[in-house]
Amino acid sequence: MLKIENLTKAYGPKKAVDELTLHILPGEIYGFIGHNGAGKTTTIKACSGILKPDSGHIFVDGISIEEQPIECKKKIAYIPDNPDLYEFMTGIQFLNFISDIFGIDSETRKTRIEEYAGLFELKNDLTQPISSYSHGMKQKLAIISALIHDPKLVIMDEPFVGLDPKASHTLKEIMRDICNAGGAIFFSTHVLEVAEKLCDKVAIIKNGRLIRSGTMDEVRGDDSLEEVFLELEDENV
Amino acid sequence: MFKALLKKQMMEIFSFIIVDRRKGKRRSTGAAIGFGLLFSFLLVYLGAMFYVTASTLCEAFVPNGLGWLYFAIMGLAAMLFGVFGSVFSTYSSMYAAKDNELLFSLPVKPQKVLFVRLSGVFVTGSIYELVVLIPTLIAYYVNGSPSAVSIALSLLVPVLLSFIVLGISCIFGWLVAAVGKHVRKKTAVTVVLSIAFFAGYYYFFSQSYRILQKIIETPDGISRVMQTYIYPLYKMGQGAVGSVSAMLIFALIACSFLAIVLYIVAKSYYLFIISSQSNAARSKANFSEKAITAGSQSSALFRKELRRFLSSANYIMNCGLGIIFIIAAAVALFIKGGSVMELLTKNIGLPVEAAAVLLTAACCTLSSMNTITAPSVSLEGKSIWLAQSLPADPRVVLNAKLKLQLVLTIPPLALLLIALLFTVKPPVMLAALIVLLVIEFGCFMAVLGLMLNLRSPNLNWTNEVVPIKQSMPVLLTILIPWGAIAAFIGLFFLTRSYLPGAVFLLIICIALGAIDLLLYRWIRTKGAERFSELG
Repeated sequence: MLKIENLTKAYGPKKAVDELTLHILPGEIYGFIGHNGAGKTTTIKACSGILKPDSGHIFVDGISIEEQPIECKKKIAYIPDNPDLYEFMTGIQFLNFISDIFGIDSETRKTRIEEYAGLFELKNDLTQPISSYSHGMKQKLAIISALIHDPKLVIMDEPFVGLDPKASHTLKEIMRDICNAGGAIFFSTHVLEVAEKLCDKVAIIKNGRLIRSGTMDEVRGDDSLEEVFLELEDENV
Repeated sequence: MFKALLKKQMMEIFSFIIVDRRKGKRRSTGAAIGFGLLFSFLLVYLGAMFYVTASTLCEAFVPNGLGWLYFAIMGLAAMLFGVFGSVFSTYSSMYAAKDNELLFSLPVKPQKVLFVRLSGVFVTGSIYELVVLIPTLIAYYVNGSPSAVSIALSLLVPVLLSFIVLGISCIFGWLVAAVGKHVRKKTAVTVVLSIAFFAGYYYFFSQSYRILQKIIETPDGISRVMQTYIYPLYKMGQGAVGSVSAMLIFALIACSFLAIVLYIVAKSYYLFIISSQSNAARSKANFSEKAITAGSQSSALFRKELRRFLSSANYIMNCGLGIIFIIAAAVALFIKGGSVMELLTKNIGLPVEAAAVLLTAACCTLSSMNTITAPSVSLEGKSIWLAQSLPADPRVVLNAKLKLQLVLTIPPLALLLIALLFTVKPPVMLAALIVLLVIEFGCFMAVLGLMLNLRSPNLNWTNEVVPIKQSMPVLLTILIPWGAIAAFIGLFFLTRSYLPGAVFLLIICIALGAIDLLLYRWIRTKGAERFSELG
């Protein structure tokens, strides 16, 4: 579903991501972990078509994001770590806007908005301007807007930050549903317990380089993910 | 901490010189100096225009013992220019800055936060005021042979007058906040108040002309008239030419005025901020089915741009004011068109063709007041990831920005063109070329603003006033067309003895059309590429 091949991106002399290669298959929830500034967000942004890599290739469902960005974006949902939305719109105007961009018909969008807004308990707030939303509400709205077009691949940067426990639980269930339907999830997180429980596979990145990846069992062995992560961090100092 | 806050506020205003906001990185020393010099040049350019007026007035008034009148008139111009420059951003600077929550969470008194906010308004107003006053003082020192006392006292004028400018701007910001506290549609309130301010501004202008007429007609009663209408400026004028007591009275008036205004504003500041924050918590309601309607991608993007425009009084008043002026000019031309033509053809003695060209230039000048596209990329701010991650071609996103300016500008321009053609009644060919040129100029404004903003965007603002008002793309989108219009008029008068007006307009139409197409092509190619890589 998502193929990252030899991705490299530098900011000035510093390589944020260095020759990163990852393959995420349909049906997989893939966790992406690393310390602050390791290159997670840069990788995620490149996969979402927001950032142009210096070298390497990214394919979404077999389509090159470099060559056919619009086709790729139709299959992707991207949720950033800090959802800055259009504050001059109301929640419902925003969802309507996103639906128009994805070309979703009236009936489908109505059903999906009802469904997801209900699940995330945001229905009664959709008539309010986004400027009045809390961080968590904006995060919920960003998630609803990302799911509205039934994406095949969901790319998320720290998706659980700001969500209340119930919304976090709902999101985890939706993530599993998407994978069961043949989609894939690629998300970054600092909460290793969440990654351990939720992910089928995990990749650990440090200073822009992939230092370990594979199934959860392959990566952690007999230890906890936290122990492995800390060990790897120390090893490479 | 207070010093740090002041530094933050000043950095917000002037950081565009040191920081490349497109890349979010510090400029090299050379680039920063170059950028600073360019900005200074633009200010000097504006100042030079005021110097010409100041010098003429100085030579006319000062030798006849009317130096105080010279200072009163130029002081009035400086005051109006200063207020004009700062007033429309005062409300958002004082009450609606994005970092309000952060600052109010710090252990700083609300009054100090207010002071920090006002320092920004003060600096902005003062820059505009000084653009008029520095040439005024230079013209006085060069042409007026002032005494040492007069020089010393005249140097107090910029300081004291800036207090009045700040006071007037504060009253406006406070009024918007006070009315907005009880009204939901804050943007509408701000726009209505701003238009009322404008109406008052122009009424005052028309009255000042009448006052000047009265002064000329009754020279003996000058002092009486000035005392009746603008007593503080009368005292300021007397003070600037050497009267210590008059300057003291003016200082007392200016300081007292500012102190009273600050007292009123400070008293309610925290209350207004709190109420603007709590406005968010309003009654909840389920959305209606009607709210969900499908539309095309391009119309969704256009509606988004329109919503952004209509949601911001700053955006409307600073970048879309031309719409009102164009409509007003069309109405005025329908009513007073005969008098205008009489003035141009009989009083000034211009042939109809030249009058038509001048009126065409006037249409373009009004059109140049619309700079909606110039901050449109910067206004994406931190939400730019949306436009970049959605499956929308950047060219379609940019087209929506262009479309907004054209949709809001071209229909009023069409009305103005009808009024112009109705007034001038030019031959068919000339009429067609006038229409083509004015429409092309409207398009030029849109593509120029967008191109400049794509080349130099600022996505890291905390107050929308920064990209709307204090950015190089907006400034250049105003100045470049002014230069172009001046060149257009100059070229016409230089060539009109051997080049018929219609031929001249045809050449300009071809050239402007080519420029429009080139800029549009750049936007669709390099501009779209830049847009997709911003952030």
